[in-house]
Parts: sequence; C-alpha cells; structure tokens
Amino acid sequence: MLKVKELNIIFQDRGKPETAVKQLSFDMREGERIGIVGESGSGKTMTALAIAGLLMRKDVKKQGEILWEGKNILSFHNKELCQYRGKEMGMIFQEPMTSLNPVKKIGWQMEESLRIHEKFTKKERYERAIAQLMEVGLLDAKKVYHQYPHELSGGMRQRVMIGAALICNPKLMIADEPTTALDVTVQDQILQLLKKRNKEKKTGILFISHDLELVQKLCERVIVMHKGMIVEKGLAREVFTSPSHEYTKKLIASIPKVERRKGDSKLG
Amino acid sequence: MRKEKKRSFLLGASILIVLFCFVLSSFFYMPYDPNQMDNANKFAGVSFAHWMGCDNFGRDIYSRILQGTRTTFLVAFFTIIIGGGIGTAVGAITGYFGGWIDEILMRLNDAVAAFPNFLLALVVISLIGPGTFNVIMALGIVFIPGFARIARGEFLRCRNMDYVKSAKLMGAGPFRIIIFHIFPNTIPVLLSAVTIGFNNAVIAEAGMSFLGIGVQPPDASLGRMLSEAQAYLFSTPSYAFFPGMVVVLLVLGFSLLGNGLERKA
Amino acid sequence: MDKPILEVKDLRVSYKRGKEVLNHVSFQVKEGQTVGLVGESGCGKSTLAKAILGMAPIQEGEVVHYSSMPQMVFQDPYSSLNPAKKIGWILEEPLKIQKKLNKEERREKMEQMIERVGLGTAFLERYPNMLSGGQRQRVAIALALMLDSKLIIADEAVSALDVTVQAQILDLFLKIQREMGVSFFFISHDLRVVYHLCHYVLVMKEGKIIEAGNVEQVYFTPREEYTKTLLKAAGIED
Repeated sequence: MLKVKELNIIFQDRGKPETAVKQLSFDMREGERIGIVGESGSGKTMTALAIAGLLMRKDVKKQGEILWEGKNILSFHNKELCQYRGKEMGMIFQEPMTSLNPVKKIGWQMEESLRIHEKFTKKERYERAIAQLMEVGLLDAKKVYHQYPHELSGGMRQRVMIGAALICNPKLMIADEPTTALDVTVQDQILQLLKKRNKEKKTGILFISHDLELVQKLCERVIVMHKGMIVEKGLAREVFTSPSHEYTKKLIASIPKVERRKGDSKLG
Repeated sequence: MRKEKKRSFLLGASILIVLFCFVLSSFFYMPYDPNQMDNANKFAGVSFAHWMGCDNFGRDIYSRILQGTRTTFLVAFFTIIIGGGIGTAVGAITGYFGGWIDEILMRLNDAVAAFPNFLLALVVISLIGPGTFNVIMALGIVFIPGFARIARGEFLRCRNMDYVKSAKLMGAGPFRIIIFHIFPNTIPVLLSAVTIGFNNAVIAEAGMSFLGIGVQPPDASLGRMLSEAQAYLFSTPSYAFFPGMVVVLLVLGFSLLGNGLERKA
Repeated sequence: MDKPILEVKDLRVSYKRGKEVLNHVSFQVKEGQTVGLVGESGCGKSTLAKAILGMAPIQEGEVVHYSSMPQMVFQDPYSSLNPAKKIGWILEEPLKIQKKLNKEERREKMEQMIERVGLGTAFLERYPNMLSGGQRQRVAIALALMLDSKLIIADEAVSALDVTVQAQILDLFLKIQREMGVSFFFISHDLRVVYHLCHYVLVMKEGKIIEAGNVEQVYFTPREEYTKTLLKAAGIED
C-alpha cells in the first residue's frame, strides 16, 4: 500500500544543507500497524510529514520516492494532494490544544473533510459526525457536537482529532506522538481506540513516538531511527526483547525499570 | 530573508553614520556662522563658496543644515530618552506587577494615546509655549504611551517564565528582577521601537517647526528651514531641496536600521 | 537521617472561585530522602509545589520548613534559564542576592557546582541557547544547588527530555543526593521515573493524597483502585 524508497530529506539551515532523513526505505501493507521510534532530531517527524504530503515546500529538497498505491506522492499535483490528504490518509498531531481551531464548534470541524471530499447533504453529514464521535468514545456526541474545543479535556480533544481524521475512512492514519501530551490512563484509552479501529476497518496506522514501550504495545512492526537513519527494524516484540543495534539497546536501557528490589539500595 | 535584513541594517547604519560624521564635523569646522546674514548673497545659487547656496537672508544653507541637523538630532534624541525612558518604566511596572497599578496606569496611558500624536503635541505646546526645549517635552510626553504598551507586553510575556520564578525563589526583589532578569530580554524589541520612535521624532520635529511652533527663529532646524523655503520653492529650489534631502536620508536611515533590527527581536 | 526537612500539615488550598485544589494534604520529607508525587494533570500536583514555596493561597494548615527555602527545577529547560544571560551570570546571581560570599569565593563555588553536574567550567561563558536540553537541565540543577538548599523541588524535571538524556539526568539526581545528602520532592506523571528515584511516594487524585507509602509497597501491593489503574496504564504490573 505504502512504499518508501531511499527517501532523503534535505533542508537549508542558515544556508547550509542539513540532511534530516537519510536513505530511508520501508514498506507498509494494508491494515498494518507500524511504529517509528526515535528521539528528537532523529527525523521521525520529517518522515511523517513527507508521507502525509505536508512537506511540499520548495526549499526542502526530497530525493527518493514515496509510493502510495504505486503513485509517487512527492510528484503529486495540488489536486491529487488534496484528494490524498483527508480522503485516503488522515493525520493527528501531538498537541490537541492547537490542532483544533479554537473558534469553530467541534461538529463543524468534524464535518470539514466531508464537505471537501464528499457530496453529502447537511443531514447526512450531521449523522456521520455523530456516529463518528460515538465511535471514538465520545458517547455524549450530540452535546460535544455543539461544543467548542476549550470546553473539552485534552483526551476528549484528541478523540475528536482522531474522529475528524477518520471520518472519510482513510486507508492510512499517521499519528505523530498523539499521546505524549496526555495522562497515562488517557494514553492507554487512545491506544485502545486506535487498535480497535485498525481491527475493525483495516485502517493502517503509522505511529510516530519517542516511547518504544508505547509503540510495542500498539504496533506489529517497529522502525528505530537515529540521526535520520534507520538503525533497526523488525517485529516490535523482537526488537524490544532482543535488540540487535547498540542504539536500540541504549534506548531500552534508558527506560527506568520497575522491578522489586531486595532491600532498598537507594537508602544504603 | 536573513541576508536582506542584514543588508538593510548595514545600509541604514552607513547612511546614519555618514550624516552623523557631517554633524560631528560641524563642531570643529563650520564654513560660515549659520545666522550671519549677507545681503550680497541673497538667493545665491550653488557655488564653490556656498556649495548649497544661500537663503533669503543670504545665510549659508550648508552651515544652516549642519546647525539644523544638530537641533533635529538633539530633539529626537531627548524625545526618545524621555518617551522611551518613562514609557519603558511605566510598561515594566504595569506589566510586571499587574493588578490595580496596571489598571490605573494603563487607563491613563490609553487616555493619552487616544489623541492623535501630533494633535496632542500641539496641545502641549500651546500650554507651555514654543521653543526647542518645549518641543522635546511635548514630543517626549506624546511618545510615552507607545513605549509603555510595547514594554508592558514584553514584561507580561517574561514575568511568567520559569527563570523569573527561580529568581524569586532565590530571594531576588521585584526591582532586581525587573532590571537584571527581565529587562535584558526586552532589549531587542525595545531597540526596534526606538528606531521607529526616532524616525517619528524627526518627522514630528520637522512638522512642528514647519508650522512655526517648534524651534524658533533665528535658530535653524530642518523643519524650520523647509518652512522658510516654502515661499521660494520655485525661484530657489535648492533652498528647499537640501534640507528636505537630509530629512529624507535621516528617516530612511532609521527605517532601514529598524527593519534590520526587527528580525532579531 | 530521620530529621524532617519539610512538613506539610493538613494543607487546604483553594482559589477564588471556591474550587478546592488541595484537600487536607499532609506529608513529610526527611533528610536525604526523595519523595515522589504522582497523579494526572489537574490533580493539584503543581499547586502543591507552589503552596510549599509560598506561592499559593493557603486556607488551612501549614507548611513547615526545617531548613532554608527550597529551590526548584522546572519542567521546561528552555524557559528556566534566562536567555539573555551567560550561564556564569545565572549561577552567580543567587550568591549575589544573598551577599554572603566575595567575588573569588563566588567564582570558586560556581566552578565547583558546574563540574559537579558534569559540565566543564567553559560552560560558564556560554549562553543558554548554545546548550542542549539535557545540558540546560544540568545547569538548572546546579542553580538550584547554589544556595545550599537542603530540599530541591523538581516539577516534571525530566519529562521534556529524550529518554537517553532523561536516564542521564536521573543518574545525576541520584549522584547529587549521594554526594550532598539533599532531599528531593519529585513531582512527575511518569511512574517509572518516580520508582527509579524515590524512596517514598504519594499518589494524588483530585487534590487529595489517596495513597502514600514506601515505593516498593505502593508499586507492588497497591491498596487503592486508582493506584492500580495508574500502574496498569503505565505498563507496570506485578
């Protein structure tokens, strides 16, 4: 479904070319859940933006190919891009505070991509939006529909974002650190929601995160990035339990362990 | 983009430096006494002796421009000192403390800012009378609200920063925090406000002197000279041209400088 | 070892609108001990930190400091250091305010502290924007230690850092405690980090401390349902 071939992303930093992503290649099949893990500056977000077709600025040089069902996203025209974004691919971001428009009601924002991509009547749109809100776990959908973003909690907003991104039934969902700003318990619920959607409607999920553990919980396959390059990829469980690359090992070792201690070493 | 800004900064700075050098040189060497009248040279054109010509009283225009630019610089400089100084202090106090101090001072500020700048300056002049010193006072007062508003915004932004909290925890008092911790962070923004303010001061002084309520004769100022030259615009264009040119260069210089500084803010 | 550094007694804090933010909170921090505070956003964690530092309106109860004022390490290493000043100035400032040391003594102390947090004296001449997030957080820790406070409050101090950097900063906290015997009050939403660092842990929900105890005890034999939910969500299960 998605094939990234030797992708290089180079942008200009104060006149000097800076390579953010180097020789990145991977495939994604329909309905697959893939995680990209890396620390800040690893190029994971750049990769996500490029795949989402949001990195079309002329001053960012892109080499290689991103093939979406055989067609190269990087050579898409405006019209094709609009069709691709929203309809075939949905994306959610880290910050649920800024990714919703503060002056528009939730309902309006949910329906926006229906207005762009489908020819629905007002009533159909409303029904779709309500159904979608219910699906993402906002059971009081009719009330939420008429609320503004600031009236919702962070977790609810992220649910709205997911709902809005999924309303046209895209085949791919790109999630860039969607749970980082949320509390642990809410984080867990969002992951369950993404998993459920993936199981039921075969929506492929490309999950970008700095948290290897989280990725392991959600994804089947994982790609570990460091300084713009893939250092390791494979089945999530295998990478997590027996990492082969030094950097992955370091990453895993950095997660504080919670194991029962004999006596209390910290007090000694 | 960055390069353009840098170029703009350099160009503005060089224009101002050249002008400044001319003004500075006048303290050591002035070709003629700027107020010395000479009937024989009335409306003299451009010549070697008077290379910008002479005015309706036969005074050397070049010398008068040097004198006038000095006055204009002086007025603009002290206007900024008064307006910028008091304005920044007011903005710092209101922005940092907030509460009722903020309410009172900012409402006062709004009241002053509600009048058009120039009109307010006219009101102040009509109260205290014309003259170089009074122009400085009038323009200084007029400039306070603008600076106060900018400084207040900056202080408001900075006062919730963690480094301010941590200074408080160490036992730093409010004035120490305002001066040593927050003020340095507002300098880039204030600096570009200063260049714009300087510009407005030059134009305002010229305008007021042009109307005859600024610098009084026989003292020269750029605006004063333009106003006197107005009557002879067609017979002796050089009389209006040179002072006008200097005003243009001054304003251009400060605009470019301000533009160049802006991006760093 | 058992001498208390900070004692919070039956603390009640509420803001104007009548909503109770902290509800009868009591605990102690002892010398050389790290006490962790976990809970979700909006539960009153940050308000408690503010109340301890005297920056929140206390309705009832009291905060007793048994040593000098605690210092704080903040979450965002990008806003906790003054961008207009060199690291040297930033570190010297608390000493200048307190007026206890002369110039040479101040210099000596700064150099000692910057090395203690694992940075060279060359950093004293740099501006914050030349430093990485991890380096800034090291400077912030050095700054908190400048006044010889016996208690450091760390509010989500490692949450904004990358995992590998986070691990280094956590080690730094442990090293500093070992060497200097300071106590930490460590506020975090990350239960793993808290386990790694703390001796004692408080679980907070809606302004109340619902469970408190030794970390081992709380993490492996939690009493409250809410604690169990938190642990489960963090992927910590026995």
